[in-house]
Amino acid sequence: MKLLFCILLLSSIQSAWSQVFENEAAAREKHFIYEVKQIDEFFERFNNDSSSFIRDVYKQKGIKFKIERPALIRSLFNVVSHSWSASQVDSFIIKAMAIQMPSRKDYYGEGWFAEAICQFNYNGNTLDIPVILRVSTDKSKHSKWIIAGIRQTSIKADGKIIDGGNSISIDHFISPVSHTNYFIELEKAFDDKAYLFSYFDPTILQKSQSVVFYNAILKNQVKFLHVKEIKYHFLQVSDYIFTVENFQRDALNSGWLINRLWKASPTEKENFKRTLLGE
Amino acid sequence: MNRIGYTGLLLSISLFSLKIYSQDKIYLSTSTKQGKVIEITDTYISYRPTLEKSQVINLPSRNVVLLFNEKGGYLMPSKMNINEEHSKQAINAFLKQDISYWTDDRVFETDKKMTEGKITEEDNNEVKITSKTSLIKIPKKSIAIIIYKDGRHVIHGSLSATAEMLSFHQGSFAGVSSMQVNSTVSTKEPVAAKEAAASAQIVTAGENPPPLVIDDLISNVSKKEFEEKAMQKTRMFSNYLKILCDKSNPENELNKAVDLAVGLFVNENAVIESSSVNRSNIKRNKIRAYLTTLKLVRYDRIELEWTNVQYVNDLKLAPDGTYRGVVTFEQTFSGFRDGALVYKDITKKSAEVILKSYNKVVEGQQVSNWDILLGDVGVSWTQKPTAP
Repeated sequence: MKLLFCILLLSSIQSAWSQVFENEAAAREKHFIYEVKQIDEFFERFNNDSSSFIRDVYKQKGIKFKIERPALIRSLFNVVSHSWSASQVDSFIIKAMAIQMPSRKDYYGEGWFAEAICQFNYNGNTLDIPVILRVSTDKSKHSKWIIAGIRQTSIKADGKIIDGGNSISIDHFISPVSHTNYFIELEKAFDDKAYLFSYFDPTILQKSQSVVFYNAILKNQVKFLHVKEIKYHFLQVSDYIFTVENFQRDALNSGWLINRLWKASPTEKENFKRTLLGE
Repeated sequence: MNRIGYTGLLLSISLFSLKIYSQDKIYLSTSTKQGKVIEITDTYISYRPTLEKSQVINLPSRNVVLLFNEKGGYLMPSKMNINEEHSKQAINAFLKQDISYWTDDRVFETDKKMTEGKITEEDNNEVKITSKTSLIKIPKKSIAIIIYKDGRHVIHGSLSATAEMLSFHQGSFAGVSSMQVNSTVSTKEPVAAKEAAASAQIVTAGENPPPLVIDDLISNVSKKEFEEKAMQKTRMFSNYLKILCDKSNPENELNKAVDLAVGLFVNENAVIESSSVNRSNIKRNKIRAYLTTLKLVRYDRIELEWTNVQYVNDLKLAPDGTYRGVVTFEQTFSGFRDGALVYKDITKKSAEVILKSYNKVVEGQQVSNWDILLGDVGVSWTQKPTAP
């Protein structure tokens, strides 16, 4: 057994993680162990957290965990995509080593966004709207997801904020772990008209696309169907922006993986953020 | 001894054994009593010994390590706060011992692992148990206790360690204590009653108990404890699903299972996603609607098999003062009709778990405690298993 896990450990550092296996119980368990199951687990591996799930599994199997952080970060790339060069990945890893992703100690850091591609019924048609969310945290570390913007929408609605939906209550929020369930709670949020504003970042008032969307929700001009897809955008690593997406496949290199990576100056990052939030 | 005499002796031994098995068993730290448990309070446990015309005897509750009834239901009175509503319900269920919901033998190992299945062979060294699709051999030395389908049990480890281990599993596997608890809860508003009970616990601390700050809580609740309790609740939910999909269960028991399953959730607005390999979309329903629908789609039998590992993320403090985490797991669902497998899929699910802290008064002392409730349950993907 130890030998088997050592072999897996070595193979995990290589791109051979795309190995396909038979779907029997032991193989499924192996897949479950190596798959990046949640974005939180992506953070664990990116940071090489001492209490990470993968380390716990190794500990339980009696195997010394010898994977260094650079190798762990490298394993978080989607090996099926090739939109980057090896030297670019090397350069990225050097920069990435200087930071910690949102973690247990600091889940609440700035500089990352979830993009939930939501499907709505609009005038009898199905319409995709990219809803951008971020984690909002108060001084006591109470956190929640809030809608920070709408990347773009073709909805025609009032462009000025209308009355209604602005009751305030601490019980009306999107759970800080809702992302792990593909934001199921968005349906409740969009149905909660009286408290609708509680689910939005107050800065949406300055974003025309977001105001149109807010009004359309409040007036029932659009009906939420479901979240089709989620992407996470990260701007924390110096000189880089990267996007993480979910890849479900019968391979060990699966789950939440880096699928886009590009160099970006501080100005380019600011522009990216503005575009993302529909400003 | 002639043949008739030998048979007669065997018969009398057999009858005696049956009589013993039909009694409750009371484990004290240094001795064991058998009889019929009549009453359980926070100070004493009353039982009538097995022998006919025996007087009722009261034992101090604190001295009782473990109680078993004839259906395989168990309680650890010394680990319970008997004044709590759910403890009262568990005791009531234990005493009534209506129906056993366990259709399999259960082997509990000292490392807290539990295997359900049919024991096909057992000798001094090991137990062979057919669990789902595989045959598992478990060395006797690693077994703490076996609870057989017919309600019998055999303790292999030390009594205290076994009680500790059963306490760990009580949330999900105390079949009688968790399934038959509904008799004291209003059948019309079971969840409201449960919430009222929970509220009552919360307010016992005084008018405005100070909220626990995250560092206090993290230091009081280890990640391991949180993970274990979160897993208990999600597995408990799976057990109710099994009951709902078993058409041999009578309607009133199915309704009970719905109420009890709903009671595991934070409120009736919790949403459950469901999927099928036979359709492309994922359905969303509120918990009660989901369970009621499930009750109608019945198989002769279902199996829910979990991978042995689950991913539990770190707790996050929400604006309402609750702590939220998620358990991600894979589950294989198999539905049988007329003994034949008619449907099978593998699903990856994520269940939100909500940790609520509260203060309560135990023997005049204010004690901080916590419990876990389920929130939304989402489906990441569903697939057909690969053909063998």
